[in-house]
Amino acid sequence: MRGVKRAAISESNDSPFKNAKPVEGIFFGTQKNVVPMQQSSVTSASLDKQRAELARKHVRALNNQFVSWVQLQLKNHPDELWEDGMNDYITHASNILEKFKDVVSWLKENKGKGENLSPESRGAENKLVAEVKNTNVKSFSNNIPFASNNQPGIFSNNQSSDFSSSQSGFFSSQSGAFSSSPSGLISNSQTGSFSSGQFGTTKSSQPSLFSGSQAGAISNSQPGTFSSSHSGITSNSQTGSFSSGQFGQTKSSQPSLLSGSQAGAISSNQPSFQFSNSQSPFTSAVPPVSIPAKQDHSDDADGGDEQSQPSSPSVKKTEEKGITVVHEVKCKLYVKSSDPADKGWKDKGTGNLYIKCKEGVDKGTKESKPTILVRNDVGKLLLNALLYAGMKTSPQKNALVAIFHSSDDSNENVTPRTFLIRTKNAEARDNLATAIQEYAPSS
Amino acid sequence: MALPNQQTVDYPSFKLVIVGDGGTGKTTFVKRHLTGEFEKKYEPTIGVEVHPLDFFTNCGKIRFYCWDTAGQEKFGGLRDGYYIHGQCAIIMFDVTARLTYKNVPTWHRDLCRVCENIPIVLCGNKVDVKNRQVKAKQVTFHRKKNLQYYEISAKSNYNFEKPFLYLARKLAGDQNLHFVETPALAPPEVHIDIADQQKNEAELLQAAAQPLPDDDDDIFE
Repeated sequence: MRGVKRAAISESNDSPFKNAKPVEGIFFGTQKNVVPMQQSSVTSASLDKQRAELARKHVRALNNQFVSWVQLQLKNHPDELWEDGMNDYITHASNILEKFKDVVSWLKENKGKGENLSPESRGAENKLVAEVKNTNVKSFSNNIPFASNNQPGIFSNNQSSDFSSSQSGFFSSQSGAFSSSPSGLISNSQTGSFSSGQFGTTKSSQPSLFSGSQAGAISNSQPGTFSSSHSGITSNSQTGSFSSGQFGQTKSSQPSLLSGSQAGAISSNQPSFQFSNSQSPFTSAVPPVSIPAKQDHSDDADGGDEQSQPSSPSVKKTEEKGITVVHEVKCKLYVKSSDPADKGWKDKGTGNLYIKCKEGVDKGTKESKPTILVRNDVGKLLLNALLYAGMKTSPQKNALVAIFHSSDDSNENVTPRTFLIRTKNAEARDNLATAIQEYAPSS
Repeated sequence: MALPNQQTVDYPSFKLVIVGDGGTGKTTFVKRHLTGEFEKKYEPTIGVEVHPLDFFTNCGKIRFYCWDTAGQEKFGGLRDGYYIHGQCAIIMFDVTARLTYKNVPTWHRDLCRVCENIPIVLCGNKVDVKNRQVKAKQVTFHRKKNLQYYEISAKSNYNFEKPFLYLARKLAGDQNLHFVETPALAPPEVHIDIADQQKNEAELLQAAAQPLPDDDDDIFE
């Protein structure tokens, strides 16, 4: 049994170093405070001891349930706030304080006795005050009565020393857990509550209150039981701890059973805490992995084949009787703006240019009615004019400048306008110029 | 079927809604058909502009009342009002701006909420530009929604008549419908004398001094 206790203490020593420094201070402070107190002799009623131990069991059951719940949350809901659980813990803590009001009041009455310690103890006390300056003062002041409370005659000096040490270790472990809480205020509150619940004794006991408290504890234990899946040993240990606690309080527990229960609880808490630490890195790694996967999926392009569409002529050409197409070329038509202020060519669009003449009539004559037409792909007329005698053209790069007399849509007036006919290359341009000169009527 | 404030014609007419992001070339596309001009300067359309477009088909003449809408959000108020009673539509995007294609589903959704089961053509404009961002292979939206897709260029007139031909066939219910050439009336007679001839020659010299429009080698294929 002593070996188990020492192992538990050894494990608890690791916890403070992994957490905030104030926790470490509390641990050492408590240790130093306990040793000198053994030399003092304080008498307390045996009934008070029983009441204090009962209160301690309630606090321990609550803390065990809370730690199990935290582990479950860390595993299943690491990205959520655990406010509900925190509120439940405070609620249960308030219930314990209410049910053990006598223990709390006794604790306050015996604060004065602590101040009557020997000068040697006072020196240690002053040092502790300096060390725990930034920690919860309430926690420190409650340590003294706790030590004095563990000096009953029924315990030998060795057992008493071990018992005190194990309590300190457990306290440090719990503080470590609280320090991990995201809310500093919650952490302080828990520590204070824990200390108050642990220390103190009372003269009277009420079984009905015990039952009510146990009911609450049982409801809390369900999540703990389910979450204890890391190892069989841990699971069995926690379950045994709860059963032993309830059984002991229902009937009158023997000192040996009490010690066994405490040892089991202490040893099982440490491995569970370590499990939660190891789980955290793995859990936090999962979300980043899934997000890129989704992004990759959304970026994937649909590999459908391109549909080829056969191009068919949209405009069916009309066959005019008695008319011959003597020249044809694809071109882009521009017209000089009629606005004197606007200098430049206005884009009329691309289309096909035709020069048409009457059949059976000598070319180059007026009677042949040589006509120049430009139509776009919808069949719309862009230019419709007659070639005339004395007509001249001016080549420019791939384009030809010429003047035609055309009538605008729904406009009776005939106006000579300057047109720019752009072709694919210079050859096409020259061919067009030749055709115009060839078929334009001579004077 | 004449719409309010629309002049009635004695041949079939349809309301055509043209939608798409701002700057994709909706107005330029319509103007190309109207006057043949290619408007280089960009002015955002405010609200909506309605232009009648006539086409000659083997089934007779047909008119599209083109509702050219504003693509920018700040000019696009009361958008549903423009869509109402739409009988066919064109959704325009710019192949040189990927975002305009990504917004096509939004335009299609808004359009179909008002106009159910109308023929719609998806047009990828500006295919004459070399640096295109949306490849033809990447355009797949039309297959899922049973739309017709054409790659066009309002600048080079590539495929610029295809959207109207598709819509005309759908509305007429005749898959063999095709455009015919506008009848060419007899051009006006030209009476020119010596004075006019000298005037023309001076005009040609002046035109020769005028700079040519920007080279568009891509227009010829």
